[in-house]
Amino acid sequence: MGAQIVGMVLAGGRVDELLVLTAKRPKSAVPIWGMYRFIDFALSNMMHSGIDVVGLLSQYRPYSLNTHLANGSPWDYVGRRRQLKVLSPYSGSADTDWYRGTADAIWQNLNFVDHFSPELVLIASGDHVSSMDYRPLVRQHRTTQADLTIVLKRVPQEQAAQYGTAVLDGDGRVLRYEEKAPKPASDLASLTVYLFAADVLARRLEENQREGSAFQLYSEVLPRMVAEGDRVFGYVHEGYWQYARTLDGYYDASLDILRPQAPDLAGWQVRTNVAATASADPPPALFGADGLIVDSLVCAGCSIAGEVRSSVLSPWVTVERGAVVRSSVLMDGCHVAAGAVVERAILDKQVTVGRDARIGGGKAVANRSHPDVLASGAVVVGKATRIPAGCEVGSGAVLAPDIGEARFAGGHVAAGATVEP
Amino acid sequence: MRAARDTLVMLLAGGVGSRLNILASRRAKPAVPFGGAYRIIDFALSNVMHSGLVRVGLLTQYKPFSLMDHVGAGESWDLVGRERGIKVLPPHTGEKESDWYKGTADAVFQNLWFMEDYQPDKVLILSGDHIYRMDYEAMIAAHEARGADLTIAGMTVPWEDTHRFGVMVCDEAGEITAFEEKRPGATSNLASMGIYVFDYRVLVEELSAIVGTRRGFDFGKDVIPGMVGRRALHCFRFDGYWRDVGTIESYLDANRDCLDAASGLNLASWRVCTNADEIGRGDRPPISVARRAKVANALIARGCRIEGEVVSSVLFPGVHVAAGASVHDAVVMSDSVVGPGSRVTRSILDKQCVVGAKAIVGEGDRRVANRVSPMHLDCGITVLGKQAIVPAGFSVGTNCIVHPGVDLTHSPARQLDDGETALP
Repeated sequence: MGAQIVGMVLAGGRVDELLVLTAKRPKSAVPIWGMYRFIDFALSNMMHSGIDVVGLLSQYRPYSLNTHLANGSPWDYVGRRRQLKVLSPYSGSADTDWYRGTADAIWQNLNFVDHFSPELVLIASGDHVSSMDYRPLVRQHRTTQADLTIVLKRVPQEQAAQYGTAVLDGDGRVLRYEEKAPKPASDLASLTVYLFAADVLARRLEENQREGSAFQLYSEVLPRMVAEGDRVFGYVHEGYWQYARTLDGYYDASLDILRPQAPDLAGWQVRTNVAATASADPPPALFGADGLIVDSLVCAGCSIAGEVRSSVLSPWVTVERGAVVRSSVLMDGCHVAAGAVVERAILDKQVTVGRDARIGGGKAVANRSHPDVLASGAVVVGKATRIPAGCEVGSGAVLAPDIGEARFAGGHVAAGATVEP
Repeated sequence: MRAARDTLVMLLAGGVGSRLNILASRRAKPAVPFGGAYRIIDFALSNVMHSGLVRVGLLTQYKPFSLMDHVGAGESWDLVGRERGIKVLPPHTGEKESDWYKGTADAVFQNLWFMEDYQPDKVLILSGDHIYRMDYEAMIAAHEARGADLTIAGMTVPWEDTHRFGVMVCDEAGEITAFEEKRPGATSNLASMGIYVFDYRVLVEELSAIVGTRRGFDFGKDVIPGMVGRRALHCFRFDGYWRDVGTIESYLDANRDCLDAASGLNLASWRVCTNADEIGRGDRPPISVARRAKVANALIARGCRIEGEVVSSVLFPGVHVAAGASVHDAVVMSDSVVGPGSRVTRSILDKQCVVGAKAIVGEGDRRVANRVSPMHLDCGITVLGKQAIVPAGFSVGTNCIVHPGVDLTHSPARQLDDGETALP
């Protein structure tokens, strides 16, 4: 069985900077924009670009990811020549090997790739948000007879230090590649989408196994290929791209969808598994006679009788009469009781907010334990935590998942505080 | 569960729904969209699923294509598996002649071969025409507990509606002592809901005796009245929400019942299942509500974009209500566009309609009944057929019918008067 291109999606990373949102799922399985998960974007791009075989590298707490992926049918990956395979770490002949890095993860699954004898291997991160047609990338790669083509995006120079950056010559060939350099020589940032000639990839990964130490594509394999004169080219992607690296980044990316220049989700044709967790289909969203809703994104199954402004609501969210939700992200099944106010908050799935409770708002306070990832003053509440009636949760607070009402006996969580499990 | 599994379901889904006019002119009544995300048959199929029933014969006849697309292999209602299944049973050529189904009993009789394959204890006969939530398992259990030959679901209806139903008289134990099919001057207001649990052998005997000898073809008219007194007939009482949605007005009213759980119609708690993947509906993005939108008392499906005003209305997936537009007391089906500054009032828009900028639909004198179909439309509602186009600035009155695909841009006038019909 053959395939010209095999896609490999890196979807195993936790991304610690998302704190409670990735307590029990990898970042690729974190919900975004109401009904999607991060992984949907890479898979939809693969599907729309006609890549028929995709291997998905999973490692950190893969349960919700596996449930979401099902048999691949939401992305049409079912058929004689089409498949989506989850590649989990496995025991080798010598010892049990967890993936030590991205290069190691691909290397351990080269047998999957070889099975299809592809010409090219497209490696993409499963926790980015973008709409990208990979076909022009493939065309450029073939035209330039490249060994590796790295997808790049122009970013503000002051942000370039967060990324791997590439200096290109007039033909688009990468002259220099550096990872998170303090003073990058280029503003072309890597989006961690790599198109490799399959034979070169195998050779370079094998070499990395012998001689590497971090086993990462970006810090070891790519720089070495450039340095040793492989044909490494850059391909510049125009258009929306978002990583949501921190909780602040996640909050901003979530509300990006409400901005006037928001990505056109219908036009992107992002596909997701709507049935993954449903015991029944959510009915259309129900809006009460006295409710008020503006500037928001709302999913099926929601019931809105209160006030909702500038917010993103996943399926099955209930906002009771007299409740207020502003500038917030509420994931599946959250319930906001009458009289409660939720402002500048991220509520993970199944969080309940009791009557007259006050979540967030007021002066923006950074989280004291994690000011580097949460300085915007947003409140973040972990999955299924229950905030009792009348409780006040200050700006910048982070609440662990599964906290019961009894833990809020004081009726107050201070601004910037962290409530541990 | 055992009782339910011994029961084969025969679901009658061939209904023409002629009083729904153009809403059912190209699809069977069970395939008419309802409630912002569903088709009417979803209610019966979801009841089947939630009652633990797993074997269904689906009897189709009239324009079955959208219905068959929708039902697919039955996976949306958990009807796929080793012991589970839904089989489409269209009319077929017999040994002697080509037979369209001549009535409800004839449809079941012509598919006795299908039932013989399964040798069920009982057969549950339903129609796919109604909006309700019912536990058939409880009805089957009652049928068994009483040792009935036939159990008929019945509900009390207003006396003025009795002429539309078969009605029955019951004694205190629930035994049916009289049954009469639709006629004026009914002696009871206990109406048959057309839901029957038959003992399989009794069903075969009765159908063979009546339909097999070509003496009659309909359960309510021909088969059941002759069983009274001779067989053990029981009534299973139902007192929940149940609507026939057989007319344009009842269709609009029942859709609006979805807006208020106090009506008894509660889509969320009923757990109605549908085929969300049909034509990619499942992948539509969330609903987007713009900064200057107004939404009150509305049921809105995924993929809708609301920039204007939506009040007391039901919107199916992918509807766009542009800025300055208003939609009041309306049902708007998938992918219709309500243009900027337009007004849509007391109207039903089928799929992919376009209402141009500043157009007006559904305003006028409701006393002027539709001239072509006054029996279907005299209640102040306007209906736009699938892919109808109302150009910018155009005005469509009330009690109007615009046939599917009609583009009023080509109309010489700038308006369609109250009660008028635009034909292709």
